[in-house]
Amino acid sequence: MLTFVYLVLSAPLLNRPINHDEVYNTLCYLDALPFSAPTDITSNKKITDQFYMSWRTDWERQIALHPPFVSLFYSGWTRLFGDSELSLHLPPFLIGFVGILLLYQIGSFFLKRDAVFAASLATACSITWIGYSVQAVHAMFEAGIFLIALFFFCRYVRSGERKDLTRLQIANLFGILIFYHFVIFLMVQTLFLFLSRKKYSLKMDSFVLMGLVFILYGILFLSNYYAGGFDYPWCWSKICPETFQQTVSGLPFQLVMP
Amino acid sequence: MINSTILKAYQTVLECLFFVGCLRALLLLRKNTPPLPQRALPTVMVGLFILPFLFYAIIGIFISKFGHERNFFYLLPLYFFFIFYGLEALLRTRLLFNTGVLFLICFLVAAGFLTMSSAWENTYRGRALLRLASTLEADEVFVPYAFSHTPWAFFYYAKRFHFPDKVTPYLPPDQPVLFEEDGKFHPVRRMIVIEDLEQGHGSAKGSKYEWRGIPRNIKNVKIYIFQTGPGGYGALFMNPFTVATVYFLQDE
Repeated sequence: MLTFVYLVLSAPLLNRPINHDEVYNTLCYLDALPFSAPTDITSNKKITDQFYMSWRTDWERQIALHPPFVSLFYSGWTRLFGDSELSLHLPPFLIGFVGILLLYQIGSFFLKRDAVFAASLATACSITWIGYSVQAVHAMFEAGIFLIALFFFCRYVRSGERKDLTRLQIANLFGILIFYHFVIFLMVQTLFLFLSRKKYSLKMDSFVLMGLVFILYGILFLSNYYAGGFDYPWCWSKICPETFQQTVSGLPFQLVMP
Repeated sequence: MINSTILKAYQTVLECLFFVGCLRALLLLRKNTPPLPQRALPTVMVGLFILPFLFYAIIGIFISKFGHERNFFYLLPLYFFFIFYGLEALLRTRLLFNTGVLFLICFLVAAGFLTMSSAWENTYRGRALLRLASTLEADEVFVPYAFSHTPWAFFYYAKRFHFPDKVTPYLPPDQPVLFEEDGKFHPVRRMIVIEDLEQGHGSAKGSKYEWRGIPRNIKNVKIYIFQTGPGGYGALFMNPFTVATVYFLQDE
């Protein structure tokens, strides 16, 4: 039923024209930067210099917003399958599909069957989910890796099996490479596992490793701050709890296709 | 269009349910079944909402701008989990609960699809535009650069429709416009200018990067202007030697 609803609502949009955000991101993906610089930066054409300047600004901004994993993925993907609308939309569409199924599994760890189904159905029907499932930006990748990590976390909490912990750690690694906000989930996980370390016989070295990850994140955050990475105009929300509260509570009510 | 008061009331209901769901998850810690680590799972998920709240309260003291609304999209499924977790606590019988679910989801879908028409209008017309423009074999394609996302879209589509190396995001004022061919620079004879008035950046708006960006010393250049919506273009005729043809395009 969930699969059917998702496919009926999202599949017809797979070939929709890409919007301005996707165009902007795809240009960055196609350049596969910052790992390959533009070749013609010595030309005497001032126009080329202008392109170079915009390339640098775009990539500083991209890195300030997201770790480069999704860009690298799309860089390879577009080289294999082209940059048609269908090709660009296919990865988030598939992630959205897997995400809906994972949601049901995650919910069943702590909700009754009816409530799990209702929550998964509401997500599959929401314009926000549908919109991002056919949009070649980072959002669906972030939701996907978050749900995968959360799924393995719930499984590990329930079973306590070592293989689930390993899978969780692999998911965490990809989570860090895909979006910066994943660190919030890492903090929650670490705190939970630290409090339950006796129950799961966890050694201190894994917590030291997590501590190092947080320190690296802190350094990255500060270096980004001092490099002016957060100074780009527009598209930045004001940072305060009120903004967060408004954003999160507004999520189910984003009634225009993102 | 759904009345904004009804929408606001619906939003308030969902927010209350979310709050009840979170409260229920926290209170679960006080019970004895299931055993503790599993019992704490809902609390862990509540933590994913609370922690960013505290984080921004602290970081917000030092940094004024950070993040993007889209960065919180990953929380959407959890938001729905807690809404229905809260609903489950309030409507105990299965019949009542399912009725509540039906109402909430139907409203969500209805509101979403009724307000979606504007989204379709926002999709880019770049494809239709460049497909037509590509038949003109221009020396140069000028896409006014400095505003919003629009030039990126056209630049992208321009590449897709066989204008490699011809697209110019910004023309330096008062310099001859040249295009490169066989290693030499030649004056531009045919130029395509693209603007998207739908985005509100038309020539009538008077941005310094728009029509004023076209150098005054362009002479005898055939300029094809593509506009995707109605609007003025009076500022174009700054040079008596410029020959202009204006195309008004419809979405494909």
